[in-house]
Amino acid sequence: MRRAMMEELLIRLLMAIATVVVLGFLLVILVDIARRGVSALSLSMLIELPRNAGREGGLLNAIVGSLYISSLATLFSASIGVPAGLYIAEFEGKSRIARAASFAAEVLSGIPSIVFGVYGFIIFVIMLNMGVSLLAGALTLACLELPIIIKVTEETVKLVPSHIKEAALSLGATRWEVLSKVTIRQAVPGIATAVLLAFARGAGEAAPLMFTSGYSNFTPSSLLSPAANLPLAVYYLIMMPFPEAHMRAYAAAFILTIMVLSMNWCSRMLFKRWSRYVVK
Amino acid sequence: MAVSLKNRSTFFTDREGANPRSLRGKIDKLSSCFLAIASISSIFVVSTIAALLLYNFMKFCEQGFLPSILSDVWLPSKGEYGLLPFIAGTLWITAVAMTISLPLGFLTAIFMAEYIPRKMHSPIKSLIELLAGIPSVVYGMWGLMVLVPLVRDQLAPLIGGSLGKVFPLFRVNVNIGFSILAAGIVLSIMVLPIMISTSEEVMRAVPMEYREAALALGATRWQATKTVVLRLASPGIFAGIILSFCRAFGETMAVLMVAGNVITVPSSLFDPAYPLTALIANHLPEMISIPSYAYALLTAGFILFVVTFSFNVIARLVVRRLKRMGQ
Amino acid sequence: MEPINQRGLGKSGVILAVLVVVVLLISVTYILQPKAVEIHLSGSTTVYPLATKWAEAYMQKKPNYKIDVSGGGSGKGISDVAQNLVDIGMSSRHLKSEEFKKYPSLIPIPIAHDAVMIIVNSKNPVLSTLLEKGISRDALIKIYVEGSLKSWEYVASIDLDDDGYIDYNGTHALNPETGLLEYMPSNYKLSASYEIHPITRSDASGTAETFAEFLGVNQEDLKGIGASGNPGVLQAVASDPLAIGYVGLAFAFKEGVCAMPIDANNNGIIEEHERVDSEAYVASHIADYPISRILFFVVNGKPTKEVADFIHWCLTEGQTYVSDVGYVSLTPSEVEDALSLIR
Repeated sequence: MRRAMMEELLIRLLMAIATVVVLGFLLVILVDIARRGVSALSLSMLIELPRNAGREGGLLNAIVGSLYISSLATLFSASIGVPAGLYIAEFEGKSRIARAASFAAEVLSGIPSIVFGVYGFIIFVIMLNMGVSLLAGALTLACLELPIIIKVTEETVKLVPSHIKEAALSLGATRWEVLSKVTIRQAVPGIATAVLLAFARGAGEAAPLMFTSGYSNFTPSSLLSPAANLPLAVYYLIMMPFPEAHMRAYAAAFILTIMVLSMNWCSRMLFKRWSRYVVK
Repeated sequence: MAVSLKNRSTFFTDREGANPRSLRGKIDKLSSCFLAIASISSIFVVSTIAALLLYNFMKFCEQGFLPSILSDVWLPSKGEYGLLPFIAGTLWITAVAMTISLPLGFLTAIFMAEYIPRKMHSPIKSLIELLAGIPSVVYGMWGLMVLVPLVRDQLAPLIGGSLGKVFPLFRVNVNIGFSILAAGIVLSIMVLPIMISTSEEVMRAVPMEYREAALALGATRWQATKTVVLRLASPGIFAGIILSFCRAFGETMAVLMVAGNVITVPSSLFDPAYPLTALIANHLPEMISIPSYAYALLTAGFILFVVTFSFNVIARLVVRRLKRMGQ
Repeated sequence: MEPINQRGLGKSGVILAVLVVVVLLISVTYILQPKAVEIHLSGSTTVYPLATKWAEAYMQKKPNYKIDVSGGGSGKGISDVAQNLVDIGMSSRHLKSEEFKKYPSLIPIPIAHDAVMIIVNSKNPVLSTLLEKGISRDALIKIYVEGSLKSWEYVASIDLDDDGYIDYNGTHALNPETGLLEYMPSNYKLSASYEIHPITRSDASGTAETFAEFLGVNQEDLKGIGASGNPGVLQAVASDPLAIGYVGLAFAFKEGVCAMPIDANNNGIIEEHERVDSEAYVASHIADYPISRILFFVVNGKPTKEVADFIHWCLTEGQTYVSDVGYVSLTPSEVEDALSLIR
């Protein structure tokens, strides 16, 4: 019995240490980013374009570029991923395509982001001749976001209670009508979450965009021009030996982190709020 | 996201509902075609990625570079494509990251699932999910600004001077801060939220009755957890470990900024390393000019793909088996 | 159960809506802008400061031009322009014969003179000796190619840690009495405070290739800690008192680092042409400096009129900016030759 008590105490001690260490890491990083970022932030940082190799001016190119690339990528991936998720959820038992697609999405979600970058560079930039452009970057990022949307949509739709679907069917609805009029309505909070999560994930990625949408000191003027983005801005600016450039890197990191974290928070809040109207 | 329930769609299988010749029937058929086509997208993307990587790997082998793949000589202009330094670098860094994050994550997960007071659960869980959302470049930046000087100025002299004299693992061969240790620590912080949230979710899903039964038989909290919850949750926990491994294995930006990018096979925690992902990131644009360089870089990509793919599949298989055994 | 159709936006919905509106507004403002002439450059981080200076000046002259310059290293610049991903590739080295063979339409246009400088941290333990005696080509080979020379003691020939020997590397040291390298007993330890930390380039660098050529090898044979771009090397050397690196002239006389003279002919004396007193001094003697080179704009085939005009401007009026950045402008006859390439 003594031994069991000792074990218990030991475990509790270890757990306490572990949790404190984990939370400690989190707080240290967040505080560091916030401290450096807030001191570097200013209005000119947000609305000016960079000059003089990142030593002057602001981050407008990266902010606008990030918004464009992520929005476009999420648009592409959601328009394909949501229907795919719906199909997989409804037909997993029946269709081989559904099972294969589910497996493929699983595999895709584990692929390292640089591999997407290589893929996008070879296929979109070189073979499809888009050049280093906003469009190529958005398409590459869409490939990366696709599995997230498919998996979350699939999970959400699977949670829709079958009794509502059966009720609709018993009233004579076709498969499609049940899907579009009943299931989707119930799944909207989950799908919205999927889209927002994918957007936040996409906004934080740098490796896939390094060679596909490149970098530019200007805001993109068309779909085929190169575009900067916040993660790459952080990377390039922090590698410069000038303290002014480092300041801009902290500011960019801060803006990026705030953007991503608030998207994540939004998606969770939205889910909770809209779930109230969903039949359980 | 909650654990998804099985939802067998048998009620869609034997449909004699809509008349296929009516408008509603046609829409029904068309729409399911459209949805199927959309799902094919994921299959299409995966297959093209796999095909691209495989094709270049085959070309790499054709040119006779395969035997040299495990050599440590990387001299592209002389046709030497030894990937050993990069493979070793990736493995070392991933190993350090897993060594740090496994115990920490596991213990925290148990705490969150079993021991935590009700009120603290939600805020702490949100905090940990916050960690998961931070982009990897930001981690890399933090690593560069804080961790690298820390390793160089404090940890290396301290550990290298003491443990380093006894164990070659801790020896400081060159003290620049950019090291496997720094990269491993950054990666472990990135991977912790995944470990914690998957393990915790799975543990929470174990019904209370099992725990209550153990406690009623006189077990302490920990004994109940150990014998009941962990055993039932082990498939999920294992899957979480695999997921974390894949994430650490494939991370690019954070290690690019912190690992040092030196082409040698590392022999100590304080040595710099050059992971496969950093190799591709640094040299991708040039590969267009030199075809065999392209084959080598894409072979590195192929290795990354194959490893993450296999671990994913293994995880799924083991989870299925463990689940069946558990029942 | 509340009715399903009474769905409010809520706080988070509002934030989202705001974001969407912001994106739409920005899109509208950019679609309405007049079409600008765009010229894209990428490549050498050595040429980068010069190209950005030129771009800014040219854009002031012609406001409807958008000249976008990005880095990545000479290898990237040449690759990019060969693939028509950019209009001009910047390079700080000659094109290799394989590159010419694969892409015969590439035209390298000289734009300025530059020198590859060896830099050390201004707090280097043997700085005064280094500035006086310089570093020999031999020593550089031993540091960067063989990786055998690991101590500043040997470079400066001073026994700094008073162990009676001038450290060479982990196993060997120079006996000051005999003047020979001896294999040391096991209790000998290389003094960590006088270790050499060589910094090299991890990207496809013209600077690295030029330096490697000077040492008789290729960039990939250079051993050292990888930094990205000239700014990366500068950053790495400036933050480590024991570091040594190589950069273009424009990066050598910056805060925190000192340029070292190179004893190119290994005769132990720093001659007139090997001195590096200041940027201006090196600039005036650039033809004699041991590692001097030419910077290039590389185009793929005959450039378009806008691009050709820009290059023409860079070669003529633009040359006045070259010394501001730290490089050396072309002589009039070199300008003529260069201009003939794009005619």
